[in-house]
Amino acid sequence: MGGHEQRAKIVNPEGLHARPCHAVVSLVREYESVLRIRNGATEVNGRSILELMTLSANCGDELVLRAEGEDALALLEALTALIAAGFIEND
Amino acid sequence: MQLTKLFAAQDLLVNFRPGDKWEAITQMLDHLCESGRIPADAAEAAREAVLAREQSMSTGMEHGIAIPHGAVEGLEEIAACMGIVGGDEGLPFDSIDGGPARLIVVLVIPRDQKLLHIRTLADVARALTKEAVREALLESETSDDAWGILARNEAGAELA
Repeated sequence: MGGHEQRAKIVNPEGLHARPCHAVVSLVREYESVLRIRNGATEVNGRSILELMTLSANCGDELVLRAEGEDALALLEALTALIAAGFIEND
Repeated sequence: MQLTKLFAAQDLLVNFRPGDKWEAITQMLDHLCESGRIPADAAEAAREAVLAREQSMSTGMEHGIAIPHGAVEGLEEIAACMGIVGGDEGLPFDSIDGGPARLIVVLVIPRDQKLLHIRTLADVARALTKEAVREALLESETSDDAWGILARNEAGAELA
């Protein structure tokens, strides 16, 4: 199976609620690569905000990010930075 | 939480026809206050929290789903209602996919229950990512019909 994989831990106290999901999807849509995100046994399409919300990811959970496409590495780098920054949220 | 526990039948507003997204949110919050789901002393905080969250970033998502929400003090359990928009056009909602909203879920969540917040968003999203559930809700003629759709989905029934 092709593609690149990276892990990222959720660090913001609120977890993956609606605003972080929006931030992820907005970022992913700037890239061409296909992105799958897994939390435990659940894996979803990284371009779908509704599917991301079904991950029910809390602070401390580790997500597995798998991207396939020409800009996969750039996408993973940007996405792990966003997650590590706690989605730069203030609420 | 199962959606049949999150919503009473009376909290599913069929043929909902607000003038715009702000009127939609206001009417749904009014419903939750009038039904006692939001206690009177938390009503203003709930209104401010949900409207401020919506102003900061639209909660319009995909497939005609919008989930305006906010966290407040003084609430013992989550208060939720769903507006099922009548007519064919839907309601402009500045959604991430650019489409109008047809199913609007307002959630008012106790501020100190972060896990409940994440889980409830996940439960709503899990049900409404299913096209058959969305279509059946939109075709519901009564609140009881709509509640029955949620119950059948939870029972694992195929919704044609």
